[in-house]
Amino acid sequence: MELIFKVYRHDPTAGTKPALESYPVSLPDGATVLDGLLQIRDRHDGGLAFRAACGRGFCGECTLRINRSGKLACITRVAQVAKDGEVTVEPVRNITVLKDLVYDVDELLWQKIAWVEPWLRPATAQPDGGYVIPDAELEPIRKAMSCYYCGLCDEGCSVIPFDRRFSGPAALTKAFRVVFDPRDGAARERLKRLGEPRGMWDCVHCYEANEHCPRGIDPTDRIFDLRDKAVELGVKSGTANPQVARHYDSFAASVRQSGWLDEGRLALETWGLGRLGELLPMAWRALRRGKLPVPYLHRKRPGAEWIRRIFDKVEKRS
Amino acid sequence: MNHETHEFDVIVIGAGGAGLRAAIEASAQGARTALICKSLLGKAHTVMAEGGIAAALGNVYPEDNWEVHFRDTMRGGKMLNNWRMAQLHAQEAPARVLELEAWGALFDRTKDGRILQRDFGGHRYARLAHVGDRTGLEMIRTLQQHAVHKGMDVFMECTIVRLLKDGDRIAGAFGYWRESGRFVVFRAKAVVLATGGIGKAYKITSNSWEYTGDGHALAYWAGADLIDMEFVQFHPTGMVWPPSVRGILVTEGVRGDGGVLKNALGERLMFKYVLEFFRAETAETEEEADRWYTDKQNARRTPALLPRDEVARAINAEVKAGRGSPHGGVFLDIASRRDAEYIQRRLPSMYHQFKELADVDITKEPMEVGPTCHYMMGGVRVDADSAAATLPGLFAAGEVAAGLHGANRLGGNSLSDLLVFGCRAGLYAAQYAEGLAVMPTIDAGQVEALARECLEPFERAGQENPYAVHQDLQECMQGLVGIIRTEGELEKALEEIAGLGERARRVRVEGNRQYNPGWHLALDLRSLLTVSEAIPRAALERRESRGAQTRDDYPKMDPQLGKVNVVIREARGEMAIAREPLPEMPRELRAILEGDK
Repeated sequence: MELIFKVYRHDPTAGTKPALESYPVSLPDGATVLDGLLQIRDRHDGGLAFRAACGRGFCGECTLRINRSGKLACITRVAQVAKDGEVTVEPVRNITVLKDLVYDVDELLWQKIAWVEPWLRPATAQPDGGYVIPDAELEPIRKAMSCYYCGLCDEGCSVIPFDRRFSGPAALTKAFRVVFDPRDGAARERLKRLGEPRGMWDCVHCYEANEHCPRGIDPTDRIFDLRDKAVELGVKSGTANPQVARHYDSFAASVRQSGWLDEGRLALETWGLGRLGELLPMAWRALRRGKLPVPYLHRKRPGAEWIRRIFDKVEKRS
Repeated sequence: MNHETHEFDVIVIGAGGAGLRAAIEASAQGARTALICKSLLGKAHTVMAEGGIAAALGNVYPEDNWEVHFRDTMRGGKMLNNWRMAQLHAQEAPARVLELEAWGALFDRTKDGRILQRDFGGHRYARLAHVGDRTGLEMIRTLQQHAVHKGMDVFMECTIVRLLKDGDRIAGAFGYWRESGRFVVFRAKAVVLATGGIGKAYKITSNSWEYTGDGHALAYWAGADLIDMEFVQFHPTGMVWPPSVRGILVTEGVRGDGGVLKNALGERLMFKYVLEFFRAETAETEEEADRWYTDKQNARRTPALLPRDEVARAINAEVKAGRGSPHGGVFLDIASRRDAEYIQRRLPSMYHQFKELADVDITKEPMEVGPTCHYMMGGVRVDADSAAATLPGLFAAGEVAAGLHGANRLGGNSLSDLLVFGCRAGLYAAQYAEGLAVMPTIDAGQVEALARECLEPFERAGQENPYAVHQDLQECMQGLVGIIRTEGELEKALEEIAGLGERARRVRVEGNRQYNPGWHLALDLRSLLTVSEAIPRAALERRESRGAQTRDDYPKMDPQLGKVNVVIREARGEMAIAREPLPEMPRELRAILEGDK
C-alpha cells in the first residue's frame, strides 16, 4: 500500500507553530498505523516523537487521534482507516503536547485516577489461603478489570473539553472496579466522594466513552452503575457542594409533585436568591425567544400520581 | 554542564513487576526509595504477560507443593539452575500471590471460590494463578496502585545510561529525561536493577521496545559478573502472519487450555519430539494426552506442554522438513477442540489479537505460529538469598538477574520470579543502605564526561542512522545467534557485531534533545551491542546443547558442562569468559530431584 501520512509535528521548545507534515509511506497488507509511524521514523525523520510500548494492544500507550477519532495506533489497521490514501495522525485533544505526538499523561489521566483511590479497602482481612469468592461475583467487574489506562474514553468525552477537572470515564471506571469488588468494604465513602463536583454526576450520558473504549468496558454504563449504587445505598450527593445538592433536591421535588421538571423552579432553587443575578442574562435571552419558564406555575402531567407512588416506594425501600 | 541531582537510600531502575515489588519493599522498610522507569508507569513489559503466576497453592491439585514446583523448575532448566533460588522461589511464590490478592488483584476462581490454577508447560500440576490471559495487567496494575497508595517517588520516562561508583561500591546512577533530554544524577547507597530483558537485539521478538538489555549492560560496565548469557529463550508460539505482527506472543495458555500443534499434514507433531529425559512422564498416544487434561492421576502429560525449548526446536524441525504452514510456522489448533464460549472466556486477548491483527477467528480456525525471541535466562549473577550482585550496593531481580531458570525457563515462573526476588532485592537493598553510614560520593568529573559522551551523536561528522544500525544488529542476531547455533556462525556474528560497534560510534542524530527518539536509540545501541556480544561469546564457550542453547556442532549434553556457569566480566576493557562451578546442592534437595515423583 502506498499512502500519505499527515502527522502532527510540534516542538514547543523550538518556538514553532504546530503543523501537519506529509510523509509518503509504503506498507504491506495488514499493516497498522504504528507500522507507518515507525517507518517515518526510520526513513524520514528519526526525531519524530510518539509513544508506543507493547505494539499489540496490551498496554494502551499509543493512544492517538487517527483521522480525527481516538484510537490505539498499534491495533488500528491502515487499510481500515485510510481515506483517499491518506491517514492523519494527531495527539489526543485537551492536553498539553510535549512534542509531536507525545503529551502530558499525568494531566490527562493519573491525577484523576489517584483521586478515585482505586486500591482495595477490604471489608474483612484476607483469610489464610486467600479470599473465597464465587467466580460469578467476578463477572460484573471482569471487563472493567481489563482496562489498561489508554485514556481513549476520556479522549471521546463530551464534558472534559468544557471542564478539564471532570474526573472522566477512565477514572470512574477505575472507581467502578473497586466499588463493585466483592471484597471491598468502603462503597459508601467512595460513592460520597464520587458524588462531589467533578465526579460521577457530571457525566452527560453522551455515550462517547462506550464508542471509544477498545476493551468493550462501556464506561458510560459503568458510571450509571455507580449512580445506581449510590441511590441504592442512599448515599446523598452534594454534601461538599450545596448548589449541586439543591439542584438534585429541587429536580426530585418537582418531578414528584407534577410528574415533570419545573425548569424555572429548578433554576431558582439551585442558584438561590443570593446569586439570582447571575441568571438574569440567560433569563433575558430566554424571554426574548419566548422560552422563559415561569416557576411554580406548572401543570401536573397526566399520571403524575403514578410517579408520586414510585417515589414513595423507592423512599420506603431506602 | 547543568544537571539536577536527587538523593535516595535505594533507587530501583525499572518499574515492571520486579521493580515495583522491590520499591514497595524497600519503601516499607523505611528506606527513602525512588522508582525510575524508561516508560510510563504501568506500561512495562510485565503488562504483556499472559498465562499466569506459577505458585504451588495446591488449590486445584492438593498434592502440589513447593517440592514438586522446585523439581519442575530444575528439570525445566536442565539442572543448570541455582538450586537455592529455585528453592526460595518455589517456597515463597504462594505467599507472594496471596499478598497480591490482599492488595487488590483478582484471579479467576475454582468452583469453590478459591484462586484457580491453569496447566502450563513443564509444570506437573495445574499451577498458574491467572485472570484469563491478562495476568500481567492485573499484576502490574495492582502493584502500581499499591505503590501510589503507599506513596513513593516515581521518575517516569527517565533512562539510566550508567551506574556511578565510589571506589568499589555503588554510588548512584546517571541518566536523562526522555522528555527534555536534560541530564539527572541519582545519588544512592543501593541500586536495584529490574530492567527486564534483551529481546530488542533480535528481529523476531515478543518483547516491547524497552528490552534493550540496559540492566545487563549497566551491571557489566560497572564491573559486576554476568552468567548464563548463552541462554536466550525462544518461545515456541509467536504469530507469523501478517509480517508486521511477526513475533507477537501467543500464550502457552492456548495449549494449557487444550490447544495442540499440528503440521501441514494435520499430524499432532509433538509426539515425535519427546526426549528420553521426559519420556517417562509424557503421554504416548493422543488419547492419553487428551485424557490428561481432566485426569492427572491416570494419564501422563501431553507433549504439547513440554518445556518451551523442546517445543521451539520441534517446530523449527518441522518447518525445516517442509511440513510447515503456508507462512513458515505450524498450526496451533484450539478451534476444533474447545467450544467458542470457552475459548473467548479463557483467552480473550488471543481472540482479539488474532481478530484485529490477522483476520483469524481462533474459535473457528487454527492459528499459525512459530518461535519468537521471548526471554533472557542469563543476566546479573546474584546471591540467591539477597539478590546482591558481585558489586557492593548493586542488586538485581527479575529477568535481568540470572540463576533461577538455568538453561530454560518454565512458563509462569517469570511472574513469580518478579514477586519473590523483587521483594527480596528491595528488602536487602534497604538493609544494605541502612548499614551504610555515609552516602557514597559522586565523581563530578565522571558525570561531566558522561554527559559529553551522551551528546556526541549530535556533534559527529558521521552519517550513520541509528535505526539502520539497530536493524542490521537484529538481522545478525536473528540469523547467526538464533535457536540453532554453530561455531562458524557465532564467530561470524562476533565479527559483524564488532563492525556494528564501529558504525554505532559514527551514528549521528538530527534535531535537539527534546523528546528525540533517534537520540534515545543511539544511546540504547550501546547496551544492545554489549549484550549482543555477550551472547555469542558465552554460546561459543558452551560446547554442548542444553536447554535453550542448541549447538548443531555439539548436539549432546555434556555432563561436565552441566556443572558450570559461563561467567562474563569486564577485564581491561575486554569481555573475559570463565567457567565457574555451580553451587553444590544439599543432599535433601538432591533427593527431591531423584525421587520417583
